[in-house]
Amino acid sequence: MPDPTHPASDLEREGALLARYLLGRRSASASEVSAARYADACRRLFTEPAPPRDIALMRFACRHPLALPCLDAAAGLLLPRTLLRQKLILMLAILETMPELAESFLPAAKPPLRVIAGLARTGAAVAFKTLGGVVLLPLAWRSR
Amino acid sequence: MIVVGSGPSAASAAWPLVSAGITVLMLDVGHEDSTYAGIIPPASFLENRRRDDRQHRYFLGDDFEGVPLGKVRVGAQLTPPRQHIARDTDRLTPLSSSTFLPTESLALGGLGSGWGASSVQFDDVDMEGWPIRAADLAPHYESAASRIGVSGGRDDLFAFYGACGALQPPLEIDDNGRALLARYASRRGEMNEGGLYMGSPRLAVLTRDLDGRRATRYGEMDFYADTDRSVYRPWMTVEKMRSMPGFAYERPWLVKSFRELPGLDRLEVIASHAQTGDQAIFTCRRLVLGAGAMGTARIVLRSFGLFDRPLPILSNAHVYVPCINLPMLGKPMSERRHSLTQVGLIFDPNKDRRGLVYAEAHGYRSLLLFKLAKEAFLPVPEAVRTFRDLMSALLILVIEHEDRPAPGKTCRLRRGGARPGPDDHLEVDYQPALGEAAGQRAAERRMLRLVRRLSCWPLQRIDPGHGASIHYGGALPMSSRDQELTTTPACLLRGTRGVYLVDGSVLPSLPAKPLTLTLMANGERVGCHLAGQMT
Repeated sequence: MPDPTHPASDLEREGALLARYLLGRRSASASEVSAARYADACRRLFTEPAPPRDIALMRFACRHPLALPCLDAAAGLLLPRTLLRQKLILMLAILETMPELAESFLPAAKPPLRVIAGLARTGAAVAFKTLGGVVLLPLAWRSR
Repeated sequence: MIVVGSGPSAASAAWPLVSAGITVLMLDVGHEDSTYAGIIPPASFLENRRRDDRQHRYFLGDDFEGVPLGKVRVGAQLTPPRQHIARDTDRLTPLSSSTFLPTESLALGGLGSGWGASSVQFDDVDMEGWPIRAADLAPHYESAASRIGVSGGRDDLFAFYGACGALQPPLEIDDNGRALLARYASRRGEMNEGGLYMGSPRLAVLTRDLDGRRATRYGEMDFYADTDRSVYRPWMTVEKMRSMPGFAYERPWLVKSFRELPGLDRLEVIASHAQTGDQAIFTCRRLVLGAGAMGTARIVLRSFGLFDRPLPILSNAHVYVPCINLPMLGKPMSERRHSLTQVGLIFDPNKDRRGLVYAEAHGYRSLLLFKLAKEAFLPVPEAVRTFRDLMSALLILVIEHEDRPAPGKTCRLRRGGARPGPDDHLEVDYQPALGEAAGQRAAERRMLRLVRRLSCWPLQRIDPGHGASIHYGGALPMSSRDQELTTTPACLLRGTRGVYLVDGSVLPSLPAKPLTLTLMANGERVGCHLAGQMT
């Protein structure tokens, strides 16, 4: 897992991975700018060494991107201030303020029943991911 | 005449003095935003979101200071272009407390540079126990409202907000607020029977051009920029006075103390340069302190050498309640809206105007999703999807309660700084009286039950802690009794011949309603009184 002293390219790779997870797709137009901005932000914001378990979790998430949704879900519930969540929120802020991605974040009209069905689907998915994350968290903490 | 500070009360006190031709020197630290003001396009929030490549600079900040990652800290809720409001307060006006988290300001315009612009009046019930009555403030409410430009409606809240002849037409309310008000109108009898009243907000936002300022274009950038100067900020009054004869504005001076010269009708004001720390002495015949309730308490206690002496401190209890306005689920959101209060609410539990609960309903769109996602216990992509879908129906109720003095609510000036630099710091202990918080929760529950009957469902109660309302007062209250560390009804500090206080420190209690218009009206009252004395 890169830390603030590592070369920018490591942070940029990490940023690209988080952006892909948050957007659910690769955005060619946004990826380069967002990853560079993410690297810059990490250098400014994460100046203190993170707790070892936070670093281990972040490293595990970067090595196993498929586990990221589950780790994010478990961390959101159990460890909302952990480094992984902080970096995800930071990347979200960066993506949200890119004009080419604005429509992905601005509210869009939908039939109310579709909103309710979407909420129900989200609830079920979150429960599933959280369970998976709770199992994965101890593995991530033990990884080096 | 010296006026200390440039916030709502100080600017309003200086205004009648300068208008009367009296020489006024305003001393202020006077921070301004010099980073972002010039780069924010005068376009709407949505236009900026869709087109401006530099939006990350003013939405997130050049140092990403607008991305709060940890626990809420002082000033964290301010957007990057507003963060200058709280700049340097840790260094220059240190405060220690484990129970109270206030926001103070050393900015040009003070806390008024970021206020929500709610402009309601206090009535005689609100002012029970004060040595002045609403009639004493009435002409100054009118005058302040005319000067700053206040818009509002003549609906069910008119009687609670106070009769005001100078109102501009009410602001347009967004779709979400309009839907809530329509349901209130259809069940008005039942709501009023339960003690709930709703209507358009009364805000210092122009709906008609005034004095070089433009009516709002509903661009939704109110948390980031003073576009067209539609929302009143006290720096506008300071700027106007700077073009008038007899007025001078000096910065960056932090006033530390004053001393009256024996046998002379003169005072010395001791100030330190905010950057170099150099001391300077200014002299005057009368001194007006408008440095904020806690700032003025520091200056008075330091001047009298009263370290460790407790003074009362007040702050409205303040909670957020996000609600889902169910009939608005999935509806399109209008592009044209402002970011401030959309609907005003008053809960009068006993229908005697005592123990009122004041609330404002806000939309959220212009504060960006990532801040909501951070507070949600959901995976981030799901949080984004959920809040995006709920945004058209999301209302944030901001609820405030009155505050009265209690033995556990005190501030003291202590020797020594919490860190090297200042010689002293203010220590605040804020413990509400027994049963106070429970009474507030009970009143909130009754109010929210009525709100739920309008198909508006409260989701969660968020209590940001004591001091978060940014409404402070009560340290050196007006009193008709001749007591040390109080002021006369004319706001003359007892024990002095010429020191007047005009900020929240003189308010003996804080009604649930926002206090800023009252601070402006009282500032004008004191300014008019002094102008009469000096001419």
